[in-house]
Amino acid sequence: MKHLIEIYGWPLTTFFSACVGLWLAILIVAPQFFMAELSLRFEDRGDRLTQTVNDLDVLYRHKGTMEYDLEHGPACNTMGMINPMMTDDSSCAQLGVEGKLRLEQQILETEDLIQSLLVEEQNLKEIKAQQYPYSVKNYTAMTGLHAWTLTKTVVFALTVTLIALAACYPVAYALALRSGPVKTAILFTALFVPYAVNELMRIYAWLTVFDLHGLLNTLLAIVGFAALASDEVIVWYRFPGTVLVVLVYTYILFMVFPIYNTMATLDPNQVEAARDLGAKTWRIHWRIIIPHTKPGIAVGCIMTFMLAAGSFSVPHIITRGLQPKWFTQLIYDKFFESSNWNLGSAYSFTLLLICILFILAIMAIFGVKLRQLAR
Amino acid sequence: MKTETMSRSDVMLNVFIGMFVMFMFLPLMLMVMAAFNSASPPSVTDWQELTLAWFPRLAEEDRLIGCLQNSFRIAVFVVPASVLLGLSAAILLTRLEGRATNVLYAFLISPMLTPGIVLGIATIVFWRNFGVAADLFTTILAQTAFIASFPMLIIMARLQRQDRFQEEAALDLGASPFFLFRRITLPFLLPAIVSSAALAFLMSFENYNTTVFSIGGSCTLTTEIAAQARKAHTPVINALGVIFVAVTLMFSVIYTLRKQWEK
Repeated sequence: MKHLIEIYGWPLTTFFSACVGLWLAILIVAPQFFMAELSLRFEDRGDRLTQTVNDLDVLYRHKGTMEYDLEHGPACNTMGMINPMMTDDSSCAQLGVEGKLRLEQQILETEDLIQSLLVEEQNLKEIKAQQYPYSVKNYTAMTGLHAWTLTKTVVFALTVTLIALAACYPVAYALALRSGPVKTAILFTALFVPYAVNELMRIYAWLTVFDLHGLLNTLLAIVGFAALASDEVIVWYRFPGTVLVVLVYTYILFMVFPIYNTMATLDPNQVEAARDLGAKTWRIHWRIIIPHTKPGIAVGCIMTFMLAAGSFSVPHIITRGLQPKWFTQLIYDKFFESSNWNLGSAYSFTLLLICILFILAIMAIFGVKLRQLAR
Repeated sequence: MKTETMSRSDVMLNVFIGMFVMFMFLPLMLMVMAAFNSASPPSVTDWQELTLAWFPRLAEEDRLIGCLQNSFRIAVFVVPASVLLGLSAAILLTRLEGRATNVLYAFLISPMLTPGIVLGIATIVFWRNFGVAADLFTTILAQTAFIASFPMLIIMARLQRQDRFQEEAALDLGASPFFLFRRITLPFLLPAIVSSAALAFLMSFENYNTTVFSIGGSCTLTTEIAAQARKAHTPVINALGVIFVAVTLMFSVIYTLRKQWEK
């Protein structure tokens, strides 16, 4: 810190520290902390407090209707209860004096009921406030179906990572060590374009392949296994395999570039020397290239896994509602459909934990430190 | 004998690379081709008529254009914020030493390694406590949280190559720290700052997973594309895809040529 102030002076040093502090506190740590905190608060939707709140809601609405009827005459009223089936019935044309009295009586009774429920609500709230608010119920409440979805997502993400690693290592090797400068430049550009094209567009492009009258079904029709005119075609969107293919396609290049970047720093003379000394190809890879490339492989695996496991775009566009929801879609529903943020936070935090575990595992397997990762 | 087997493995490698590049390009090429076919839903197999009609249709998509404007509105805040935060963090991390720096470093790159949807969710959960509903504002914060890590790494890489004696010499000659930063450090970092701003813009503009979870009822270009792509399959989106591919291709070629030329 002293060194920093010596060079940049205390006003600038304070400014930089404040910026980093804000970033760290407000954008990174606090949001994650609050999400974790929310995930530990179980919102029991069937408990007495929730029921009381719902009952109160119904009573308020009922009372409002009756008061309206008393003032303007009933739309259609029998014993103070609205009956939509009787809208055209003549019996609900006018309220007699007797009817008005009865209605006033009912409003008073409803009022009493509301008062007693308000007291109960207050009591229940106090009891709840005294209770310890945290539990792991949001995590243990995951149903079998959702747990299966999570497992499937993780297995798919692992598969995507393995496929990407197997395919990208040779590509990076060719790019970094087996081609001249011109070939490298051309190949690099050829791979950079699909890498940089918008993620959604790359996913969307696959619809042309998987559509009912798309490329795959047309090819099948040519061979005679499908008939386009009578719609005797395969609905590819039904198969989880389509999601896997598109996941691989969308995130595979996040494996190529980190591996290429570290492999390109290897001195080719080292490989030549090993070959001259009689080392076999696999041995050169195993003893020279792979050890040197470890940090890049680790970064590639981490990025690919994280992107595949956390992908919302691929299942959202590709499944077209024809497959069971993916884990990220379940999380989306918890927030924006059924609006249970507590449970959604728990699911989201579970996904985060899985990614952290994966990073730790990769760092242990490849023996790399965090500092080596992002370069 | 030995060279023969080596060349055979090279041939196999080349075939594999060729297939890999094909795999990467085929879907994009199909999407581009279908944009020039009058058939709807877009198709390459049911070829009807060569047409450019789908491109003018983009201008009629009012909602899409509104969402595009939102994308720019977000980027206008995300880019300067990310570069400023990244620059500050790069300077602190380069100049500070000790174990605490490693911990700080781990925290500051953690958003890059966090699934995008988790960042979006954490942001809206946090701001709900202050009565702030999910909108462009929360998206700006959620995006900045992870985009700032990239400028940090780019600027750090350049700072590490800086000649520290230059700064010390300037100080010895009586330069004020502020003068030093403005006249020596900033100009030295300028290339890194420019490229990290460009990267930050692209990342903000193209982001989907974080944005869709943090934007609430509003939209950006990407969320709108996804919404339309899920609902329907129309050649108008293919036309938009052609624009995306063309722009990307142009920039990649310019970038590669410049790099070659600099060598």
